[in-house]
Amino acid sequence: MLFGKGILNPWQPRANALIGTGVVGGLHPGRIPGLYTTAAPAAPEAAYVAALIAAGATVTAPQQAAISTFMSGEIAAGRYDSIKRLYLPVWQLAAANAICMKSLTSGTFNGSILHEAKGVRASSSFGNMNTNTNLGSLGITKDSYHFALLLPEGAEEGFSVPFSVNDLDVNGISIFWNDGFSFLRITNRVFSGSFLTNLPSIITTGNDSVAGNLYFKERLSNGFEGVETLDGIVGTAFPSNNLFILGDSGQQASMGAPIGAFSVSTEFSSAQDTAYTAALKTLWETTTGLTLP
Amino acid sequence: MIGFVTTQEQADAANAAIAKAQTDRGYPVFWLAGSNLILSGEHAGQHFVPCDDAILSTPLIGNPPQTPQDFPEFTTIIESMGGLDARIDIPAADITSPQEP
Repeated sequence: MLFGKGILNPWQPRANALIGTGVVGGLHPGRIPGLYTTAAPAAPEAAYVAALIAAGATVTAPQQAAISTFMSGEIAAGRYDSIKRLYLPVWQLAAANAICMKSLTSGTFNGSILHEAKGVRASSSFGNMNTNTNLGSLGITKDSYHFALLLPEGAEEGFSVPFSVNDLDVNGISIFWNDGFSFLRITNRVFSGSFLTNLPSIITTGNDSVAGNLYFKERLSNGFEGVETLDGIVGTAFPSNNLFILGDSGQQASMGAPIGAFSVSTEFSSAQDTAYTAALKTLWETTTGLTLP
Repeated sequence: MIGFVTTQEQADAANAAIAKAQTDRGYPVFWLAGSNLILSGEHAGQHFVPCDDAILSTPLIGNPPQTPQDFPEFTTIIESMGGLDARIDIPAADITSPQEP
């Protein structure tokens, strides 16, 4: 099976079949069967919404509008091409929650995962989601990277690894709580996170090549940003292991607190990061009908 | 932790069968029960396949949502590990591997 390698995507034909059928998006003037394709593009969210529906999710008109607004905004802001994987696991259904909004590829949930309205979390200490890809395959490198994690209930301060590449290896990428925040490691660069409140927030980390630094931020619901920066660059290349969310690759150190959204992108400057997290917060709040406390 | 204590081969076979149930229907593999090596305790060296209520009631796909128990393959996969009555409760610490850097 080549799915997961970016070659075949089982959701795509299902999604395409629904676009323009009236199930999603209605009859698009650029997709009249048997005629010709005009230059009019499909709505950017149509394929993702169709994939969600194909998986069994119910997507309301306001939710579709929220996804459209987010995608259109990211396109207009010039960030959309940078986003390589974006999961919005609020559909209370494993197949839908595993779908990447950008690529329509599917991750694989392992173990005992709860699929709740505000996101996904492990029901015990054991579980994860394998993205079935690695950073190199996505064009994400030590010189161009960005991770975002929306935590509707804040961070779990017990033993937890919300995302990782090569687990907690010193040459890996991981964010780690162990009786309180322990560290964020981007291979050879390590953030202390002393500024963190661990309240409901969006946590991001990335490189800003213009500023010449690396940043680690916590954006609270009121827009307040805590930030830690490290001058310079990441020295050690990113490992080729797959990217895991919710726990490490061994389904351990799993998050008992929900993850409402996760994305990985190429470089966002610090200013781009600020704008992106604002848009991501709005997307999550609008699709869930909840407020990031 | 409620689930099956079994061999690595049987744990792998069970997860492969779960994956096949998805690919046979044209789906990607979006869900697996997973398995863990048991590191300590009475069953050290064997493998643990979680199978608690949360696993059994996982909303997988469809509208209304199908759970693992709604798939015809469920009975065969469970029976391959001895049936639901063969599940046991083991301490989470037996399969926890803290990875202090």
